[in-house]
Amino acid sequence: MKFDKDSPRIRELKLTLYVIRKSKMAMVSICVLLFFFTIAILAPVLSPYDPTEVHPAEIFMPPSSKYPLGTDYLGRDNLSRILYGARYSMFASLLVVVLTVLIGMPIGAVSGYLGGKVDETLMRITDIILSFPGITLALLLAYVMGRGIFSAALALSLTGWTSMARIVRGVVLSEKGKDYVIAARLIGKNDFQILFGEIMPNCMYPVIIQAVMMMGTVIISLAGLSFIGVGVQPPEPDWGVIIAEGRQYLLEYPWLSILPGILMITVVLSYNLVGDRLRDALDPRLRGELAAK
Amino acid sequence: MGLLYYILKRIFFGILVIFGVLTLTFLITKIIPQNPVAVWLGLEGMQYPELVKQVTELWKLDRPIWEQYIYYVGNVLRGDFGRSSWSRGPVIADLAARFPATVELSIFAFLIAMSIAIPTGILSAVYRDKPIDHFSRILSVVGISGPSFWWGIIFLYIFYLQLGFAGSGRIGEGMSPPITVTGFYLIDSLIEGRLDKFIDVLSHIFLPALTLGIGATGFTSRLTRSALLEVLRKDYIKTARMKGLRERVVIYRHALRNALIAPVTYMGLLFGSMLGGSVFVETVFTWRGMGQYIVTAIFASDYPALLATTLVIAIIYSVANIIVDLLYTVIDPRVRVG
Amino acid sequence: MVKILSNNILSVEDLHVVFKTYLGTVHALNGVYLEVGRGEAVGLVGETGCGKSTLGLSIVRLLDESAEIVRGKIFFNNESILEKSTDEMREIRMKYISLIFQDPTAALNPVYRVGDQIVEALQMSKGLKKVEAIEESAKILSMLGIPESKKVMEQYPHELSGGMRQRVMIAIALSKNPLLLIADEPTSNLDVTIQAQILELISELRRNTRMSLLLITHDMGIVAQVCEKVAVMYAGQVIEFGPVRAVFKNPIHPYTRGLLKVANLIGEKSRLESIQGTIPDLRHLPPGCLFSSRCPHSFSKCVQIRPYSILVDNHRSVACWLVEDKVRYCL
Ligand SMILES: Nc1ncnc2c1ncn2[C@@H]1O[C@H](COP(=O)(O)OP(=O)(O)OP(=O)(O)O)[C@@H](O)[C@H]1O
Ligand SMILES: [Mg+2]
Repeated sequence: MKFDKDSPRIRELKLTLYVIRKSKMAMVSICVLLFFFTIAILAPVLSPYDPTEVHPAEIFMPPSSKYPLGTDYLGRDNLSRILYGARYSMFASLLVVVLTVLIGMPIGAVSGYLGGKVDETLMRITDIILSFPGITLALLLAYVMGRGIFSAALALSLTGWTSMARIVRGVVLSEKGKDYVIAARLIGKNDFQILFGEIMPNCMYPVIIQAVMMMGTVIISLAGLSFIGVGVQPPEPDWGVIIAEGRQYLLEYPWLSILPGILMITVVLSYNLVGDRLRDALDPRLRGELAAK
Repeated sequence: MGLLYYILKRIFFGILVIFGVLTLTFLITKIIPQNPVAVWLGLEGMQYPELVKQVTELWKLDRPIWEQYIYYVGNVLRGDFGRSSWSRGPVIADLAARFPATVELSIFAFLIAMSIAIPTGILSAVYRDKPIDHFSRILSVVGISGPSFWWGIIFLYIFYLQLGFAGSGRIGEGMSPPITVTGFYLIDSLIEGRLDKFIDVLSHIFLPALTLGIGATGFTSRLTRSALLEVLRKDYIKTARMKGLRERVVIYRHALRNALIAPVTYMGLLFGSMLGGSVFVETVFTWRGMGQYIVTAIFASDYPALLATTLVIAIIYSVANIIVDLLYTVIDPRVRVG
Repeated sequence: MVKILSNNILSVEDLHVVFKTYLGTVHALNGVYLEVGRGEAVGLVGETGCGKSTLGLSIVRLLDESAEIVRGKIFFNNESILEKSTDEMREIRMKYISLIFQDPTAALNPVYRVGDQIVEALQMSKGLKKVEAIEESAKILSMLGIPESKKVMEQYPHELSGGMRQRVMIAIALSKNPLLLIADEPTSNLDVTIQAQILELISELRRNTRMSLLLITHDMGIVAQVCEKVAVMYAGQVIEFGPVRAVFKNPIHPYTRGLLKVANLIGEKSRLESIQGTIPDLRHLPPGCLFSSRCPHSFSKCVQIRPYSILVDNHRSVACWLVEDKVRYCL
């Protein structure tokens, strides 16, 4: 194929992009994500109202030209709230995943590279964190750090880094005995240069895949924390908050809760589909199988 | 013999991890920006230095940290999880009723999830790229893409508000809960010999359990499918085919057992996701379990209750993980030597 | 064209197999011709990646899903394999053809005791009862040089050594007394004594049951010892085929010559040289001879047109333009 002349790493990249481009589903998902990011960025421009502005005389208005999606129990404009809500889902989740990588990658790298006592200790710490089910520990931490989107995000990063660390550790463990590492040591590179200059580039793909696969879960967890009341605080309009508020009026106005959920599913689904495709694209065993269809 | 050694080792490590969990919750109590004595005594009580001193000494808060730690661990081991600063009673008393509620819901949700997911995953792989495969894959990926509390609300709206099925709580309004033996309503109602109660309880647990298990169902179905497809490509499947076995035998005897190793390794994690998800689902379905207790504790700023419940949930989870690992040794002979 | 009933147990004609991958279509087999006579043993040799295993799997129709048989015919016992229904194919695999897989570790089911896996094969092919099958498996295993075979049968594959697993694999394959045994490097994990013992066993079985053998191997010595004929494969083609003695004594194709030289069977015994270059990229094949880029004798025609197999000396065939010229020269 046309990539054969490039260096292995570039070739891998091009191949991955090629495989993703070949999947309609993945391309549509990427467009959906871009769309939601655009909405999130442009929320102040697109929103007809301030999302927290109450109109006591116009509560539970049906959709109209004045309020395209109607109003909620305080007469706030639903459209504006949903547009602003996209900001939390899209950007706070990104922040969490970035933090996760920043915490998990060095820990996993050092753990795998040094081995021995350091590795043992760090892995036992991940064991302990992992022995809290689901987001129970994040909930506790978020609460301890004070309610709000930042402590929620930090709490999710402080519990979520373990999977990243384990992946990086695995790669480092399998790479550190290879010839090129020994060669680098022979020409006098120090541990730091070897670990971060030579070995870590190999972690790039596994980390990216894990990051993309995490996005969906993180969005759901963040919304969950807001739903419970330790994440985004009302009157700020997070989708989780909107769902929680709409729940009180479910019988008469189900759409208040349903719509943000559908949007969230759309975003999370898109991340999951892209993640699936990425994982398949980088799985050498699947390369043959997928294309056969 | 090797098996016994493995089991003992696994249990030993499980206990170690539980101690780790204890340590972590203890450390969290130390970093909480709140003085437990002040919370307990209130503003008024804090005005009496004598009282403050008394409580501080009673709780050994004036001792070095390691002594506090031993005191804390000792208390937990004796089942003393502290007192709720809100209800003022011992947390363990509050949890006594809620613990079985959550465990019953989680186990039931887990069973529903597995009994839906594994067959659909198998069907999906066997009838790969046929309509049934597409259907179950779409359902799975959509299922895992939505938050459980939202699915709960949707189910409530459709089945409770529109269709009139049982909605919230563990048992109908008009019925008294069964006499407590195990705390699991499903079992207790049978012990009591009340089939009507059993059915009522069943109708109440079904929706929340389905909701709680939705993510695990989607995940397991996808996992089972891909594991089975992967196994079907293995050489030993070719060996089986070379024996002239029928396709059905190849799949069910040779492929399935290997393919199921993957979901089984995740069962602990999935059961954990039920325990964690109970926070949301119990809130939506007003299910009086530990998850709902956590949320109440958060709103009441009830640290002792929050910490204790989290700790209990983590302990249940650790025990569940030990059980799953033991189960795992049964189906995969390869781990028995390690 | 009328197919004359031949005395061949297996014949492969112009077989083309591709694997479809992201990276493009891999042309693994590019027009294979091969014949195995009844009771005959044919050695299939060639460097790694030339398509030996792919050919073996094609014959029993167990290629991966990503593979496609583009063109060609396979006759087993004078019947076309590629036209068989699933059930007919099952019957053929159950009773008439055995395959020893290249990697015995991957070919044994990790969750069942090895005894059960042999017993299952015996129950299928010979319709034995369980107790009989257990006795029979123990017998086969001890024939394969496994002492305490009953104890081995109680073990799981991961508890056995590589050589032991290989013998279990062989036991499964031999349990059905096949008409044709396809053995993909059956003795690669075994030490020399066991290897000799097993090759002797296979030879004996051939004498007693007129079992035919397609033996895939890297080891020219084994071919010389066990086989009557040899097929040399290169980049998905059999480029030279004929009686072992004739081919080893007087190799015609430059690749065969190189191969034998590497194997130290002919030429200057002191100097071990390998064939220069590598096999062409199977994803885009050049139009001409697939060996031309490495061939010291290639000329313009070699680069343009792919050679086909030509009969020489009645029993031998070679796919090389040098030969055609030679033949023409002789005439
Ligand atoms: N499932 C597959 N998907 C894609 N390509 C494959 C697949 N199986 C084999 N190939 C390719 O087909 C070619 C022939 O492979 P095959 O395994 O038949 O070689 P071989 O002669 O048996 O080699 P070895 O001596 O190493 O066993 C190789 O280039 C290989 O990469
Ligand atoms: Mg091979």
